[in-house]
Amino acid sequence: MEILKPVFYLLVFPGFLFLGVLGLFFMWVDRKVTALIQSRMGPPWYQCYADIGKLLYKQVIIPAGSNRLSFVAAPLIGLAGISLAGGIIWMVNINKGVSFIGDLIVVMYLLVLPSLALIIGGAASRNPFSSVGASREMTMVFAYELPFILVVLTTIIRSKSIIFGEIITYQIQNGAMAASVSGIIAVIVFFVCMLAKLCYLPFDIPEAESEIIGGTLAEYSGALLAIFKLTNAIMLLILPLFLITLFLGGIDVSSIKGILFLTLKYLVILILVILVKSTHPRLRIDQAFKFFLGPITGLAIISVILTILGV
Amino acid sequence: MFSILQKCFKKSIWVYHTNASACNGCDIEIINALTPFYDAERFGIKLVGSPRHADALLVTGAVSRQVCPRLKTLYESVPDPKIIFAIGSCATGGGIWFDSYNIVGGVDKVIPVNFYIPGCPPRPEAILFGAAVALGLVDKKVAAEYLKEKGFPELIEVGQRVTDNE
Amino acid sequence: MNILALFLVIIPLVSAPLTWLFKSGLREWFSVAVTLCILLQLVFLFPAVIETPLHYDLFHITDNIVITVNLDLLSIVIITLISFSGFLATLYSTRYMTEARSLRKYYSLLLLFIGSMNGTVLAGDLFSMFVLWEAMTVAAFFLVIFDNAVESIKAGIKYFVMSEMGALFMLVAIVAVYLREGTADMTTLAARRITVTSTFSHMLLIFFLLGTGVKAGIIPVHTWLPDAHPAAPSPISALLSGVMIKVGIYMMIRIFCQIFSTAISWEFILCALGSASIIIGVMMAIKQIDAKRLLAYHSVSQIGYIVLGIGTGASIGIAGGFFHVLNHALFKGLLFLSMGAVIHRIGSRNLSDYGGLARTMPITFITCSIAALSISGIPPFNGFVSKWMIYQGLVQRFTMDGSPFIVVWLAAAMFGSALTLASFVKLIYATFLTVPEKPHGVKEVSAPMWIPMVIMAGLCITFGVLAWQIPLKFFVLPVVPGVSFSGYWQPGLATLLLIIAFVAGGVIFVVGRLKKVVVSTPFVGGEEFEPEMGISPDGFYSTIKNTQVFKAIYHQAEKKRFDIYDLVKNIGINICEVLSSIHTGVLSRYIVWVLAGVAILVLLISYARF
Repeated sequence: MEILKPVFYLLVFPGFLFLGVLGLFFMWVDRKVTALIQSRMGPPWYQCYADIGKLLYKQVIIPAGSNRLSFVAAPLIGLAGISLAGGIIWMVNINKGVSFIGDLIVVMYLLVLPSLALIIGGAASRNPFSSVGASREMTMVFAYELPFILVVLTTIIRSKSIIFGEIITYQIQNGAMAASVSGIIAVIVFFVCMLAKLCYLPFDIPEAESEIIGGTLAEYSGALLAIFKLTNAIMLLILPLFLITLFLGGIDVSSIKGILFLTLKYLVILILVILVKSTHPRLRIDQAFKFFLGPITGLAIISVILTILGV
Repeated sequence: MFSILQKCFKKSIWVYHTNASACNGCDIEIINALTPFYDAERFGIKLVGSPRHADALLVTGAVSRQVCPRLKTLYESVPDPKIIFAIGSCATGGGIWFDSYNIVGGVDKVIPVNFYIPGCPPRPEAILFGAAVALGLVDKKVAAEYLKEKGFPELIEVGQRVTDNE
Repeated sequence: MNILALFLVIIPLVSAPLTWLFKSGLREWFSVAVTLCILLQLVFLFPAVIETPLHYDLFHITDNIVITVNLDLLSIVIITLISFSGFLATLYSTRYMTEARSLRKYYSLLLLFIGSMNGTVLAGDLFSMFVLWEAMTVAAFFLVIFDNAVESIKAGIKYFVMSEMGALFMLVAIVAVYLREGTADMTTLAARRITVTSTFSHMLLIFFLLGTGVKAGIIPVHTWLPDAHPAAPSPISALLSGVMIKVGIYMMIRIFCQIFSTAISWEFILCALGSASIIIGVMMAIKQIDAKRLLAYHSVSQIGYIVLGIGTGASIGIAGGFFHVLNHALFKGLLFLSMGAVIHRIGSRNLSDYGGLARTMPITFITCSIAALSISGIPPFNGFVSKWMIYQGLVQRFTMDGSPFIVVWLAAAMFGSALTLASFVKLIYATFLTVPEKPHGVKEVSAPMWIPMVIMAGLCITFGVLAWQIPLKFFVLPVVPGVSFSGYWQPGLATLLLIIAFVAGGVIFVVGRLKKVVVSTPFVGGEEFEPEMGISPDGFYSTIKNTQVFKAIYHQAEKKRFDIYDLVKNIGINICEVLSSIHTGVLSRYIVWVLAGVAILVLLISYARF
């Protein structure tokens, strides 16, 4: 039936299952590389799968007096949003001519959903530390959305379209977006915003572990925490792929050479993320806010101006 | 299906560390155990910030009166299944303050403990060994013996040669 | 059919004084019946108008000034919006306005308001439109000052003065157009499409922009909005924010898109004002802790989206702006009604007094959350579709022109969306999810109050998920011809997939519920949990508010340095003080002034002679 095909795409490949398995694998890569940087052995390869399995085995505790509906629904919203966004990004790269469900603007709005899920979850747990975490997460979204939007706009300006297929075709014909001064600056800004979106150091303020007892996730345990961790893993997979699609020439899975090249690009970005994550301390919320609204937005504006000028 | 998840539990233990009136010696050793030199992460052990995320509770220090109710609250906050480690001599049985006026005693007077890791402070290797025993990776090194039930060893006289062949 | 169209206006206007005859129980239901009657009329009128627009002369005052009735597609969609919102608001008022003293006044004013709004949109020539526009302003004024508090009266006077100033400008422009073109009939003028080349036509457009802009609430003439909308009772706020603003937009569409063919510079001005409204509205809204004032600032912001859409000049942008008109009426009306339900139960407008209402008022919570998600533009709700269309309009414009400013507008519009989300997270958190010291023992509101909310929430979802099938096909695309989509969005499939992913997550949750789910007190570091812990709504964005740049701007805004009403008021008062210092009251001084004036006149006349 017609309707089953998109459901298959969403649930199995390249949706939920595929993204989940691959995302958890790359989360292990993250931990292993961090360990290597710190000159130690890291966890074994099955570690992240064991984490999720263990979390499913644990008891779920719901805080008394909280709104049960929002508390349970919040992680599900995040998972739904990122699965759909991931599905769209993979599908438009696999079938370059056919648009899947939405275009660039749809994906940008869907990528807000995981952060929104964290905020609703934090707000719905009846815990003062969670509400501080929720407030900080929303402030971070405020801070990094503007540079993020600006650098995505550089892509729209260059390719004069918001449909993914046309952006990728433009890059195949005219060279990657990053092959220009404005493109390089845009990639740097996108990279920093990606760190903030993933809640990785130096911007893991909403999930500050020892400062506010786990922040927005303070009250989550068991299966709900597993869903949040799964969402984090899929975001770790999807956001660099988004960067590759918009700026670095898209994904080409039709040939072995293409897959190798894709893996290389992805691993380079991932290792840069891990390097930054392992060597930086956590920023305070007001420092992060000023950092994003100051230098990073300035760089993004420069990138936009250079794109308009055609450099 | 259930058994797979049960096996996963052993492979990834997330710990929450709490200090019940300790001198911080054991806390420093626990942090040492998590540093790259001793590396607890290869067993899947990770330090988490909220007890709701934790599987194991590492308690150090002899429990004082003020800490007692808070330790109980903490114990109830950790979801099942959980493992409680009492680290250090003070946590195991009160240490040298077991009969002080403000100390309730070892941790097992307040919450049920699964594993004891004595020492003052226990070396990081000892802490990791205790964790490995808990995970079933190694066998226990010593078994508890009650010395009172054993007789004293044979006495030897001064000048008596101890070798067999005379 | 002609008379049926007129009934849309006559019935409410005639029933307004009739409500004085009824007793208090029947009066409300009579008003509801009247509004329902208008709505039913539209069921017959709508298909007829789709075939042939209705346009006929009613009354000839002189040869050229004719009162006409014009009911084309644009008018009928706006009238449907007005009547539908009016019906829901009246139904809501039956239970909301129970403790008010002069309910006779309220219902008659409400019917007058709805009738005059219908009339403004129905009128086919500029003069009768203006008369009904003024009637709408007056009715709204009396409704704003309804509760007779000092703040409400001040807000009402500010609203009235600003509206009248705008209306004066508009009257001058209307008379100028009539004198120039010889007719005031909007359809004839639309056929001529006056080109904007000379200074005279630019002045005309400035005056029209001021007139309609005050009513719509665009920067910088929006300052009556945050004072007047909170002061009015909640169903009236829903109508003011949802519908009356749109009448201003309707006139703006008529003038800028139909009567005048806009020059590039005017599109630039509209886009600039729209983007400024988006950002300034939302930045002011983030700081508010008065629930209705927060919603009023968001109205300013969303009107910015609509004006931005109209200003793009691309058909899809205008269609997006028009669709946003419909969507905004739905979700803003819903927000005001649900906040009104909360205010009705709790009795205060301050966010710090709310909390924990998600348990006790579940219908309000769910509908308010749906509205908050819609206004932030989260897919798959309806706000996303109209914003998506506006973005496409901007991108298409950029593809044609290459003007760099379009990037600024696009960035502002997308950023405004994130800020809107931020503001509504705070609102939902403070009202429903946080827990107060003592729980309010309030119950859910009664049926006539939650039925409109549920209907509007259902429409928000339907307009979003079935966007291609229902609203675009019937309400938007017929009105704005020549729309070409350059993006791709399949809301039905996306919703289905989102629901399936949601269910898949739920399956994970069920698998993980192998052990029993336990409820226990929150963990706050082992301490006793006291309910007054938790971040207050005021402190939710303390980081943003305390950043140096924003702090300075908010400080100045609080001192009302940016309020055009206060600025003009102060200038006027200063000029009058200068003038009043001349009138000292001493007779000899007056004689000196008179002699000096005569001397100057003599000099002037003598110069003119030679």
